[in-house]
Amino acid sequence: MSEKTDQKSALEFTCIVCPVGCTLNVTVSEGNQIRVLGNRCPKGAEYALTEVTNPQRYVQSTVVLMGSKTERRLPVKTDKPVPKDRIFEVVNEIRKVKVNVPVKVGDVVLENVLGLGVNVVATRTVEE
Amino acid sequence: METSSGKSSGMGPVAHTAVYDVIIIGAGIVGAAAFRELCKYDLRVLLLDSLHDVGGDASRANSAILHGGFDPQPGTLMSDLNKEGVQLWFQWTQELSIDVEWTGSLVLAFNDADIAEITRLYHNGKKVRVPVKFLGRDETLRREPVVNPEVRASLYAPVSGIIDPFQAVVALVGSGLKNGGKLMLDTEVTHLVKLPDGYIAVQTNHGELRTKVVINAAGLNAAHIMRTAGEDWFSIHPRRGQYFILDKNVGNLVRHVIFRAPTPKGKGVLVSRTTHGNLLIGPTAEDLTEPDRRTTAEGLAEVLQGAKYLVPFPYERHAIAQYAGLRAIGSVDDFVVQHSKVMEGLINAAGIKSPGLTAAPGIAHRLIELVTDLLTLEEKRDFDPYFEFPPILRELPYVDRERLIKEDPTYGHMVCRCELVTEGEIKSVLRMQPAATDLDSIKRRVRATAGRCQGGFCTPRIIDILSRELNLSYDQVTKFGRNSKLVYGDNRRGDA
Amino acid sequence: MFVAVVGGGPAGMAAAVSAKRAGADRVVIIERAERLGGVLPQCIHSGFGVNYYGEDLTGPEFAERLRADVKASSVEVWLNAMVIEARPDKTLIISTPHGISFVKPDAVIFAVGARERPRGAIAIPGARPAGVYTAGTAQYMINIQGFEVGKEVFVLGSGDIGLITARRMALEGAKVHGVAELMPFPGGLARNVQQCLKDFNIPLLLSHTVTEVLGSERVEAVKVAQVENGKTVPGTEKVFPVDTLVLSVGLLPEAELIRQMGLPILPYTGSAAVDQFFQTDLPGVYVVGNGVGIWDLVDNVAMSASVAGSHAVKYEGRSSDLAEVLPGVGVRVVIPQRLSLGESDVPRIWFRVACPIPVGVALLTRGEEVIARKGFAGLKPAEMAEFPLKEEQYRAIRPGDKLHLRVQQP
Repeated sequence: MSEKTDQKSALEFTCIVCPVGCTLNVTVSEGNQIRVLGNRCPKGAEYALTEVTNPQRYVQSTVVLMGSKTERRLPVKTDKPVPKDRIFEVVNEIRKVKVNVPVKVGDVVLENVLGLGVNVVATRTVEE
Repeated sequence: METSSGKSSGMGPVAHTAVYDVIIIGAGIVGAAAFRELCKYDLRVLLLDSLHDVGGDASRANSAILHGGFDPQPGTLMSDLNKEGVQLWFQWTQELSIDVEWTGSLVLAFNDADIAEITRLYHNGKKVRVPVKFLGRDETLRREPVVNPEVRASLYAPVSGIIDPFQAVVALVGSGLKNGGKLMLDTEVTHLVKLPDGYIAVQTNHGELRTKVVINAAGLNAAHIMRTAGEDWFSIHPRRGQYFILDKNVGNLVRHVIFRAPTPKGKGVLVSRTTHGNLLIGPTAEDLTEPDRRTTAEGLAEVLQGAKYLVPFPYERHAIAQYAGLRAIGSVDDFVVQHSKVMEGLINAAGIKSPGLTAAPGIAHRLIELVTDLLTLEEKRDFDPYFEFPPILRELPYVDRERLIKEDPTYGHMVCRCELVTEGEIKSVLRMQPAATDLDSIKRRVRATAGRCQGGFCTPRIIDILSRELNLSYDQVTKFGRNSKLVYGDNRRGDA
Repeated sequence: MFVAVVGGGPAGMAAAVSAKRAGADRVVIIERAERLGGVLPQCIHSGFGVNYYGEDLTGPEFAERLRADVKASSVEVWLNAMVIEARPDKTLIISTPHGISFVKPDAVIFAVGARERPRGAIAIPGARPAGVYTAGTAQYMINIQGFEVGKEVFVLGSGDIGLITARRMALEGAKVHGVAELMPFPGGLARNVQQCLKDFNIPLLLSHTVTEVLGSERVEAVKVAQVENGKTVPGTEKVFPVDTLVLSVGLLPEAELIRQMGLPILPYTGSAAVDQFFQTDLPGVYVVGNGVGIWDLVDNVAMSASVAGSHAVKYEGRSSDLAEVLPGVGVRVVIPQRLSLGESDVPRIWFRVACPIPVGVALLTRGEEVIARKGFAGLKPAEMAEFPLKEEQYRAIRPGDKLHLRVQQP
């Protein structure tokens, strides 16, 4: 057993919210008190909290697009972040999707993926 | 379907024991030149190569130089055929529309030993009656102001130059095909067997072929082919040469082909333009025991060092590609162009090292003489000496490009943005004979992917064109045949 | 007023829209690909637009916004059309599937983008099998064409494009064995190291490079070694059994047409010198976006282009009062390289440092005299930084001045 005051875990990681990429130092004390250092904006603190408790990521990929003269793939993204440890499951669901033209930015191509409460939406408009 | 898988062209499916008058093994520059010349006669001629395209091995990775003829020892076959080759290239490049430029060459001397060497070369040149001039320092620098100012003298050979060796092979093979010759690619010769009826059986991975005469122009493999016929007095080892290709923006650094005075190891590193306007430096001369076409850090450094000595310049900043080629160095210090000592009907063209490209037309003529010893040759009345490539748009006036685009809009669709190659041009070389069937064979015919981005932009688009035009699935599209696949297919295949 | 915009990527679209809005009679975008957007449609990841649109967008979404503006502003768009010759009198000769077109606009805006440095530019020794691709080419094949490019992958170069391609290939099911970076620091943004490599347990090998490509037909392996002082360290070589090598080793402005106009090419940007309106030394000829120098953010690309677009229409010709800005010690790139003086707006100056500077001062100097100074923290070679010039500092610059922008560490 180490000393009682050392009952905290310290984490260091890079904030991914914006291109600045602050190095965040996060300490979690015994009573699950979370302290964030190194963030240059409030979004960083927010990000650090989720990253420690329930890390999440937006996912982008492509789906098969049918009926277009020039395009074979439609780029898509999740409209909310998904739990980090389920990224590959989400990607595998996305792989199964096929979409026909026309399609607009923001069109939902896959609803409530894996019951996560997250939709997969088109990020491109393809008229024909 | 005009274009097949590339296994054969200009002929139908290979009959089990097809019979020929002459089979040429090896579609490098020597085999291609012999093919073209033999197709002037009323013969059944077949050209074989183990690779997926014509162009051989050494013939597509060399210095692309037509040598002046002063270098080989007078009295050797190399010397005679070099000189004869230069004369014939004058005519052939015109008949076959092959890019050539008679730039002249300069051999630079920096010290007493070099001066002694270029003096010897000068006397060689005089002896074999090729034009050479001995230039002092001032005249050397006047002709070529960028060379190392420590130069003391140079040997100038006006009748030498640069050629496109890929185009040369394609045109020679194309000329032969046009005049009735046949071509089989991806065909490896395993054995030559003399049959009781006088024919030679050429055993290959695609079955057996029968022929009266075999010309062995197999480059690095020539000694191996000889051994399969029981002839083992000759051996070949590879000598590797590494090169850099530089951006066209620096292609005009030099006007002539610039050499250093030769040493016993060879002609050393040269600095030259290419017919397409790039700059080329190299080669190294590394004697190997096994064929190894890899470039090495040491070899590339040696090329840079050698080139910088001749013409100081920051070459590495303008590099776009590096490659290595293997020269076939025979156990005899001369070309071997003669009848086999053990198998009647076999003619060997072996140990064809530099100046093999220059000498190739001369070698072809010597081979015809040897064939005449064995067969009666009758000239075809309808032989057509001319060959033209499909149109290269960047070389056409705008009115002609406009006319072509009106005929086929894909001639207006630019695919390779560095070399300005259109979709129409790519499609046309898939249909020409010998046909392109993969990325590299397209490059050798129309230069798509050969520019400064090295195919970054056009490779994906050419995959689509190859897939569509040749009806291939994406994972069947290759860089140079066999398993050189460019991608593994559709990334959503098999998904529900 | 007729403005021709060469290139329909983010820079070209932004320039065209801003020229049209500034009152140009006719604006034509000449785009060689089959779609607008340049490289954006293949950049399906997010991280675009935070500055320009105040939102985190994916590449295709950023492109869609600009494309909507283009459609709304009656800009002519020529697709599958490539300028094959540009003459100093601004005549452009264009190859299209309908024929060869000649146009002679009043102003030309080159929004030609960049190309990736290929393997040959860094002379990686070894064999020449299939399976060596630049990152952008791999991205195009995966995201636009829908190809499976590789199953076992190694990436050389840790710029953002390399990091993002590593993640993309991992998401597509490839095993990414590692990313090697020649420098002792990552080339791309820290957040991309986190979300592209660390999230996927992809090793980042700093101070490493690929020393050899192996494979006779398709890539079979790459050799990777540690680098110290520009030399590989003997005994540190590792062999990675991969079928694909992805290269992210730098971008170069696609300056061929700019060179054809007779404009000198600066060695440190790889393109023509421009002033704060992105006008070159040829009046009415502009170069914007990655065609003028490599930006880290598409936001800046679009911004530079809209400045040029409206300037091309409002101001014909060019002020004769110019100062020159050159990169000084510690600075690799400075944009613009000319300052037109006496303009109402104070120019913006961008620069990129040669190596990471945790804390430092950037100085704009005229000889020994310091014209302007600004403290910076966390300057990185991967990122373009803006040097804020104040009104009085700008007014103090005189025609013919040769200014240097340099950085100092305490």
